[in-house]
Parts: sequence; C-alpha cells; structure tokens
Amino acid sequence: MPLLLVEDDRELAHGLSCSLAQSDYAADVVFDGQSAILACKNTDYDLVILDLGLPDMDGLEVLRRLRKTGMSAPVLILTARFDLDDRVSGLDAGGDDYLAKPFALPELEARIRALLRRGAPQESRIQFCDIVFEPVSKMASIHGRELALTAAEFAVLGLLLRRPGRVVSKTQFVEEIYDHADEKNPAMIEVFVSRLRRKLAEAQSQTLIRALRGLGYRLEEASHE
Amino acid sequence: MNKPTQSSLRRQLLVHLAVPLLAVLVLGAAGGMLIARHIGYQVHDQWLLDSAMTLASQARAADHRVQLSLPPAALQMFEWDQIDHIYWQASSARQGLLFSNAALPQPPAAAQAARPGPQFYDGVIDGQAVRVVAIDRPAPGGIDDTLHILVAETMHKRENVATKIFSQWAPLQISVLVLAASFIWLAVTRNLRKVDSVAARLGAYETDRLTPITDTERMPAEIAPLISAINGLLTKLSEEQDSQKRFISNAAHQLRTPLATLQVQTQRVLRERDPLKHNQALDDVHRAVTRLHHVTHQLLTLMRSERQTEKHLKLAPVDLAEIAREEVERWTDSALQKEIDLGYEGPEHGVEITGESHLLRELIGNLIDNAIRYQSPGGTVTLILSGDPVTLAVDDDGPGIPEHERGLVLERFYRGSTSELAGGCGLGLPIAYEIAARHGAHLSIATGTWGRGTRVQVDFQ
Repeated sequence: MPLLLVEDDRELAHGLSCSLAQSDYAADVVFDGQSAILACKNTDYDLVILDLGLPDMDGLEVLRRLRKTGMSAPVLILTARFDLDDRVSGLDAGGDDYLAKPFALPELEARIRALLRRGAPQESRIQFCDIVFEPVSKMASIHGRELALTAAEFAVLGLLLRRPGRVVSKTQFVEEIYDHADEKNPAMIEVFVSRLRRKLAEAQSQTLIRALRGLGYRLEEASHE
Repeated sequence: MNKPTQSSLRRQLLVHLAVPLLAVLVLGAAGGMLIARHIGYQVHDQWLLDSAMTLASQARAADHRVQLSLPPAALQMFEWDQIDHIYWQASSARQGLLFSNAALPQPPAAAQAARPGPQFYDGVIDGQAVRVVAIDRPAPGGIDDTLHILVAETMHKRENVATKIFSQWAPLQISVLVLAASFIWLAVTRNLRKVDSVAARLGAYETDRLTPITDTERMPAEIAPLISAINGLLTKLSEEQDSQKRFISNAAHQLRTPLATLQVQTQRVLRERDPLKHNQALDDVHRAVTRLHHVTHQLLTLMRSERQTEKHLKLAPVDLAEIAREEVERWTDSALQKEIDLGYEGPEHGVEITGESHLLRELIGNLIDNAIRYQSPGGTVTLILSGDPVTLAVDDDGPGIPEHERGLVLERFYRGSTSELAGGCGLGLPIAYEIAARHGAHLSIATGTWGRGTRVQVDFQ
C-alpha cells in the first residue's frame, strides 16, 4: 500500500520514509506541491501525508487542488504552524487528520493506521495482535484456536477491538451489552472482563486488557510496557 | 483603499482666524468711509447754508416790498467757485421770484411742511446732480412777507472728498490687513511648530529604549494630554517588551541546555563502537530529544497563553469531564512507564464550563505531567473532577511541595530542589496557573488528600 509523503525538509522526509519503511509502509517522497499533484495524478495512493509549509505553494492549496481532481485518499496534515485556526482550515480544505510537529513516531503510525482503517470497507474480520475476530459469524480465535465466549464476553471483546489501544468506558460497555434500561448493571462489566481476561490468558494470548482507574478498559499488546 | 482627506490644523486655524478678521476689517473700512463721507457732506452743507444765509442777509425792505440788491461784484464773488457751479434763487411769498440764475428744484413738499429750519436735498440742474439748501426768512423791515431762498451747488467737491478719503483709506486698510494676516500666520505657525517638534521627537524615537517623553511642562497644555496618552502607551509597550525580552532570554537559556545535551549524546553515539553501548547511547539521544520537545512545547504554550488575553480567547461551552478523561487517557502510557497508578475520579460527562478546550487540555495535561514527573514509581496520581462548583484537582502521594516553595513553583522557570532529576523546565505549573487565570479560575497548591503529597486544585467560578 503506497503512501505519498509531501515534505520539503529533506532530512525529516528521509527520516520519516525510513521509519515508515521499518513499519512496512512504502512511501514515495516529494518535496514540493507541484510534484505532489503530479504524483497523485500518476499513482493511486492509499494515504497522503502532507506538510503545510511547502516552498512553491501553500499546503492547503495543494490539498484543495488534489480534492478538486477527485482524489479520495485520506490526507494526514503535518504542520509546524501553531495557530488553532490551522486545524479548522486544514480539515475544511479536505484533510482527514492533523498532526503538529514535533510528533512522536508511534503517534504518527497510529494516525496512519486509523486513517487507513477508516478508508477500508467494513471489515468482516478484525485482527489485533494474535486475536482474530469475526463479528458476523460471532467467532473469536487466538493462534487459530477458537475462544469459547458468551454473548456478553463477545460483545466486550468486540468493543475493545473496535478501538485497540483506546479506553472504553464502563458506560460504553453497559450500553453495548444491555438493551433495556432496567437490566443495566455496571458491576457486571468487571465480571465479564475478568472472565475474558482469564480466557485470553488460557489461550496464551499476547494481549492484555488493562483497567485504567476511573476511565475504563483498554486492549493492548502485552509487550506494550 | 482611498485615503481620507487629512484635516490640517494649520489650515483650519488660518481659515478660522483669517476669514472673520477679514470680514471685521472690511466692515470697519466700509463703516469708516461712510462716516467720513457723512462728515464731509455735513461740512459742505454748512457752507451751502452759509451761502444761503449771506444771500438772505442782502434782502432789504423798500416801499413795503422786498428787494434784493446785489452788486455785480458781490454776485460774482458769490457765484465764483473753482470746481463747483453755484445756482441760486430768491423769491418771496407775495412777490414771487425775485432773482435767480437757474431753475432750481423745489424742496419736497412734505419735508417743507414738517420742518421750519433749513432743508437740504438732492436735485438735478442741467443734467448735473446738485445739492440744494432751502431756507425761509421773514422779510426785513416788518414787511409781512417770507423770503424764500434756494442755493444749489454741483457735487464735484463732495465726490472729490469721497475719492480722496477712499484713496487714502484703502492703502491704510490694505496694509492693516496684510499686517494682521501675517501676524495670524506667524502666530499659528509658531505655535504649531511645537506640534512639529513633538512629531519630530516621536519620529526620532528609539524603540530599543522605550522611555516616556519628558519635559512635557514646556509643551502647550493642549498637547500635554496627547503626550501623556503616548507616554501611557509607551509604558505599556515597554512592559510588554521587557516581558518578551525576559521570555526570549529565558527561552534561549531553556533551549540551549537540552540542545547541548543532544549534541553531546549524538556525538557519543557516533563515536561508540560497542553495539550494546551504541543502543544505550541512542536511548540517551532519544531522551534528550524528548526533553527538547517538551521544553519547546511548553515555551510555545506559555507564549500562546500569554498572548491570548481574555479578548482573544475563543470561548465556547466545553465538557470538562470529557477533556479531563481524554487527558488522563493520553498520559496513561507515561504513567505506566514510570509504574505510577494514574486514575480519574469524576463523572463521565456533563461538567460544562465556558472555556477554550485547547488551553484547558494544556492546563490539565500540565497538571498530570507535573504530578507524574515528580512522583516516584509505585505512587498514585488521581485527577478528581466535581461539578457545582466546578473543581478540578490533581492529587498525588509523592514527595509534596514544601510550603515555602508553593508560591515559587508558580513562577516561571523556577525549578524546585528535585526538578533537575525529573527533567522539568519550570514551566508546567506557571502555564497551568496562567491558563486557569485566563478562565477566571484560581489555581492553588495544598497538601494531598491523605496528608501527604500534593494537591493542585483549580476552582472554576
């Protein structure tokens, strides 16, 4: 899946494309707006990473022109500018996400993953680390071995997998699991989560469900720490 | 953009002074001329009357009839005049015309009836304008008759007088006008030059030293308010400039140290041959970069929170609970890395306040970051949020801030006794304090909930 990186600072461009290559993203690099427009005409990119401060034209103008030619790939805007208004105008011009320099590499990669996922059609099969999750057939497996989950546990896992690495609050679990208001019981969530944890551990999953005090739960890779 | 026509004080003053003065002078000149002319007329009228009286005195009574005996020499003398022509006519009520050298116009009937004294009026003889005097005298020698005498004179002398008066008045008036005008111009210019000197002083102003303009007592009282307003502005600018200078010098200092660290660490990496130590050195590089990132970010945030006075804040209703939960989540990994239990106590939604979400995030982020930074592994940091009244607190069970340092940590670039270890840059709490103040909230530092650690609390109004 080719990406296009539009960044006029050659060192940053070089560093970024090398780092992206480490994460198996192949990125074409251009250094100015005209080349970016030309590159998008010739190649169908999955994602464009666009710096706003380009030598030949304003990055937002590049973005507008790209959108005018009908390019639909998600665009992640990078900027060293500081004003809040930039965020708004960047998104108005057709940007999908926004990252201010300086940024940490994992943050950039997380945004790229999210944008690529958003662009992809509704997945019938979700994979995170060693968990394979199939919402339609209500199947979840680890290392090819199916997990025997109750409907509630399946729903909890599904919610955690919808936003891996992000917190899911107890309220969100309750609303997902219970249809009727009188059934709602937040205390039960802890029970479901602890059962799910045990089943994941039994299947020797590399993932773990972390409880964050006062916030909720999140699914993460065990090597996270 | 078309420039509006600028009003010139000098021109306005000149116009406002010169026009009325000119009018006054012209009116004065006209009035003076009229009076002079009137007096001249009266003098000439008197002479005319004298002539008529002389003529009347020549009347004699003879044979119960009035006679006018005028020897030719006397008549010649009477009529002689270098410039004007004299006409006369004598008549009596009973005898009719006695003598005349021309047909003289009679006085207006109404005037004759109304006044018994001599009457002056204008008339025309032989196509020439004349001034006529008419007198009535009782006939001499007890004759019951009235002598009626008219004497007329052409008006050349009178006109000459008017011309003479005008020819002498006019140059005088013109020179008065010119003098007055030049005095006005001089006065206006000289006084306005004081404005010019102020302008020149302002124009030559050195911006590196924003000292107020002194010696205002030598300036006109009308300019003094302007100068004092400018001085007020200068003082404000000077304070701003000082604070920016301080900020820049502090910022330079803050940036230099991590940059130097980074430079040293990278050079160490480049020199390192042992692969294991190479990686360790790279870790150090990364730490230095992170620190530099942190400092830069803090400096920029501080600059922005400073710049955004209440007027520039883009206030909107925000849910503080959502922001707080997101910030706690954002700092989770940092806390986990330091083995600190970071938690949230408060509602999931619905703590609405009016504020700027971006700055509020910075505020909360800084409080959490600060707590984590100075907390030791195994410790606890909790963000506590409650509504009504809206209160946000970050509580930790760490070493705590000694009471005497609590005021100091709110000052920029102050670094407590432990901050070197924690890699702080002395800006976290000042930024939080500043942002809280921008939102009309008060930030205070107290001892933590269980009698130890620190509780930084923000009370929103």
